[in-house]
Amino acid sequence: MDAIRLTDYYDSYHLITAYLAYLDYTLDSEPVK
Amino acid sequence: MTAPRRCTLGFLVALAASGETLQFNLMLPPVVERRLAAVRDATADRERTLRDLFIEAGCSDDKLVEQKVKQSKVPNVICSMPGQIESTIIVGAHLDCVKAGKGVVDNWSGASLLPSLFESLKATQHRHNFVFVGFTDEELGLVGSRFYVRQLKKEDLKQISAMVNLDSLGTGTTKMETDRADKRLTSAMIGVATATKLPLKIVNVHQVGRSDSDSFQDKKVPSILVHSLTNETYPILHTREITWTRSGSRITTIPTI
Repeated sequence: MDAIRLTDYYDSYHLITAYLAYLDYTLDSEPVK
Repeated sequence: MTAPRRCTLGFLVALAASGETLQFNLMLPPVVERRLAAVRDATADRERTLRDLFIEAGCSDDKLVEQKVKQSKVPNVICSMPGQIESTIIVGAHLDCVKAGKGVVDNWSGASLLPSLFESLKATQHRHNFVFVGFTDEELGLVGSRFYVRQLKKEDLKQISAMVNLDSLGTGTTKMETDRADKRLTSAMIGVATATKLPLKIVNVHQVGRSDSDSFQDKKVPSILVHSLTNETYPILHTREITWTRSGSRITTIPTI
């Protein structure tokens, strides 16, 4: 656990969450089922 | 349980002519840290713990699957979140580790984040099917991810729009690899980092080893590897097992990260 910098780890979580939301919004243009 | 924070990507609000907003929830730091601290030593125990964390995050029985993997004693753990279109985003992280250490960085840091990412996205509307996968035995040669990709039907493989692989987070700020990554995915990551003002750097680790995103890239699935490694932090991994050398400033000849 000592090797983990918790602030950086949480920032990564924040960034990845935002990234996934963005990909969901922008990728693909298929019509809704 | 502390309530999640709701966030909005402001730049998308500005971009969306329709006035739509893009929202996601963030678990508070104690939740994310508690899941990280739930690390276990044995791969089988890690698999069970990851499954329990998915259940805690609200991935219900019919959406949570332990996929038996040929050549492995421990299954992949798969949590599915259906969407509205026939397109899938896979978020993966290997749950196993080498025997040399506890494998908190490599890769409980990625695996234990999957339930929080699921919980963050499930509370808001989403278009894609999201599939969160804890892959088994990455350290033995990408066993779990290779099996996962091979058992997919051709049409299922084509339906995957993106694979986001998390490996070894938290040793520093967020890094992404660009060597083998899909250019559209890396551009999007830069855009989101800029918009959120969160740090992001490009560090290519592919020359030092392979990770589960390679199993997808080998099948032409657009993929990206997110990590935290640099030449300075890499030696934390595989502490007693890896002989690593440097060629100039680059790490070389290491089998997996």
